[in-house]
Amino acid sequence: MGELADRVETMRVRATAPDGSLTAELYDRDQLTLTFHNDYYRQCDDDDLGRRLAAVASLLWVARTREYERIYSDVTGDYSTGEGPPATERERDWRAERDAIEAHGASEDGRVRVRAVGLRNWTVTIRPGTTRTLDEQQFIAAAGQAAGALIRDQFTRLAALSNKYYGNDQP
Amino acid sequence: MSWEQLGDHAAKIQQSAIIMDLRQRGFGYDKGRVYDSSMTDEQVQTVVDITAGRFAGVAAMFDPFIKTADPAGFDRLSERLATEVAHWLNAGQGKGGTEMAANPDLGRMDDVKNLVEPWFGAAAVNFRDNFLSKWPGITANQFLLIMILKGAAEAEAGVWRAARASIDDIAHKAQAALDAMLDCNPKDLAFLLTVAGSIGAVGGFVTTGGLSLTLTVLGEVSASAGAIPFGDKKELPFSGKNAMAIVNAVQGAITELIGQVIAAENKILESLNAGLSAVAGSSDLFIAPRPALADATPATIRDETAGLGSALG
Repeated sequence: MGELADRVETMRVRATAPDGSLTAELYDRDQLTLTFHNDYYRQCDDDDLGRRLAAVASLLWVARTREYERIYSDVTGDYSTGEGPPATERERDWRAERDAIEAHGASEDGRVRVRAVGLRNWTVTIRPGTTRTLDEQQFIAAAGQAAGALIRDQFTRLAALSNKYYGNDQP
Repeated sequence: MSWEQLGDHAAKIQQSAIIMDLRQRGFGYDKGRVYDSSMTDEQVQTVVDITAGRFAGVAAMFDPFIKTADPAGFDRLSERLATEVAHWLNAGQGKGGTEMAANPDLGRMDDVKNLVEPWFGAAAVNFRDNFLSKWPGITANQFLLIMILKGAAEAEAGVWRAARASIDDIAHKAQAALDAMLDCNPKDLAFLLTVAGSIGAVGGFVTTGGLSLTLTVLGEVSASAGAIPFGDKKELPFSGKNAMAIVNAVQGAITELIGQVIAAENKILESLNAGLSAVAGSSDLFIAPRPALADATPATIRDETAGLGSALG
């Protein structure tokens, strides 16, 4: 692939929860790692951790979008940001369906589940008892598996949608 | 991307088109392997082969530009012609390179006018009419011919510099469009072709003294102050939504680019042909006629009409 793909593939972005309790870093397209601050993991409960992870995921994807646009501008010389109004009815419909994509991901043990609608609304569900069962490193690995699975699911669905609207058989 | 990498880049575009087309249709791709959990390896390979067939020839679209003229070669020719002009203008002044200044030797023709003032007879009249009076116009026109050649070399350099920049832009944006095709917000891009705007008329020269000649001197727009371009840069927007659309846009842009190169080359050809026609059709504008006296013999040298004539005083 080209420079854009290579740079997107290797970009790193991070986001920190507003209260500073945890930082998430996304790298190698679909790899995620977490860093807990101030001994937060040992003190948190499952629901609270889920809410904070959802908030950080949302911030992380905003950071990812911003970094993607920076790289895109750098490679193509196109410095327009965001999306203009849809040029056609087909484009409007494509965007509506894209924004409604519901992607899912889960850790291998099923303890951490992530759901995102249009990559805007995030829900992280942690099976009760998980934070008392898994140590910090085990939880970070499980969260990384769930996040990676969601990202791959999102791009698989996006490709299917792209094919539906813009595949070679389309007018 | 450096110019030498265009061939590799073209091959990568073809490969990316195949992969992105497959991925858009739901196939997985990881480290050179295409897969689909609902198909056998043989079935997947068949699909890959068919897809590769649909995109065969994409890399070859760039072939005409891989061995194009080197702009630097024309730069060297242009510099050499400038050196020649400078040498002529600066003769006897000890200047070198392309630094130009008036050559006082050329002005000595005025001294000749004074020296032959008392000269009478047919040869004297012919010398004044055919040589002295036409001297400024003929030398100006000879300079103009060199400037036309220099301008053509400069324009050629401009054409091929712009052609390289344009094909680089096409390759670069096609690859970026393929890379971004399946992202959340694939934008439409535009190829930028600059050949039409790369050359222009630097100026036309009209000589005086009864010898009138108007010819166009070309130049590279970016290199020549005041050059008026023959055309505008052209943007060709294209959709980055599927691999075949991107490839078709590349084909269209390359066809357009080749058309621009041909049109620019025709402009250069017109300029050179006009100079050539002027020399062929009006050689007296560039070369003074051979004096009849040059063919004089001992028998005719003192002849009243064909000979030297006489001097007063």
